[in-house]
Amino acid sequence: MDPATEAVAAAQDLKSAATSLQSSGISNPTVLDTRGYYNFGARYGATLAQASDDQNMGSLLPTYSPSQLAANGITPTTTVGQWRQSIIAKIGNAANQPVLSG
Amino acid sequence: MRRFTIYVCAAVLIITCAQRMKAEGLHAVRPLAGYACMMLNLTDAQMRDNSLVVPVYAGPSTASGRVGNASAIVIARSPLHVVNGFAEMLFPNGATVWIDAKVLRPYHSESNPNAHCTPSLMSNGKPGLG
Repeated sequence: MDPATEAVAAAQDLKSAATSLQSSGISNPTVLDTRGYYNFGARYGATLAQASDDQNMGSLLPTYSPSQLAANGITPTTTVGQWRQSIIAKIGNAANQPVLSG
Repeated sequence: MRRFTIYVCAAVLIITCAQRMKAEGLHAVRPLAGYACMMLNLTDAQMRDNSLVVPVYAGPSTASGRVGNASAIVIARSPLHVVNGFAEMLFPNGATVWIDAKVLRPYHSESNPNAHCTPSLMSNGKPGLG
């Protein structure tokens, strides 16, 4: 796929994720919220989007076993704030930008 | 010297932005009395299956109109308030919605039996999980 087509496809994926999160009651999904959607699915993505920074990932992904969490690079005691910061470190300021506007 | 000054300014800017991003994190302001965390009664595979959706409704009947889909952990009225087989819950946008009571089960974490979940008013003014 050429870069321009990839960019259009990525934008469409972002919009789909944000729309799904909105249907789960997340009013204004950010790029960071959509990352939760891609990593953990629609249901858990919406759960993470409404969680406090000091909550543990093991508390918010209650059906995940410790080995499943490890496969995602986290432990049961990794906080949501730590996970969010790891994503922000990768994608920078854009993480907090809302995906949908208007 | 001029280059050094530019580096220092850039470093200050980066640190300020990093602190701002950190400060913008979502946090719980206070617990929401009268609510408890519950989770969908689905297997782990079902929880992660995006094609399987659990609808929530405007009132305690399917005829009231579907308003969206439930996330994995829901904020349910406690004690559970069931009308016509539907349980009252709080949607993340703050609306009161209703869900088939049969699809709910008590909150429990597989990886951490001591895990807690407290329905809370969040720093963005919306209900959330503290």
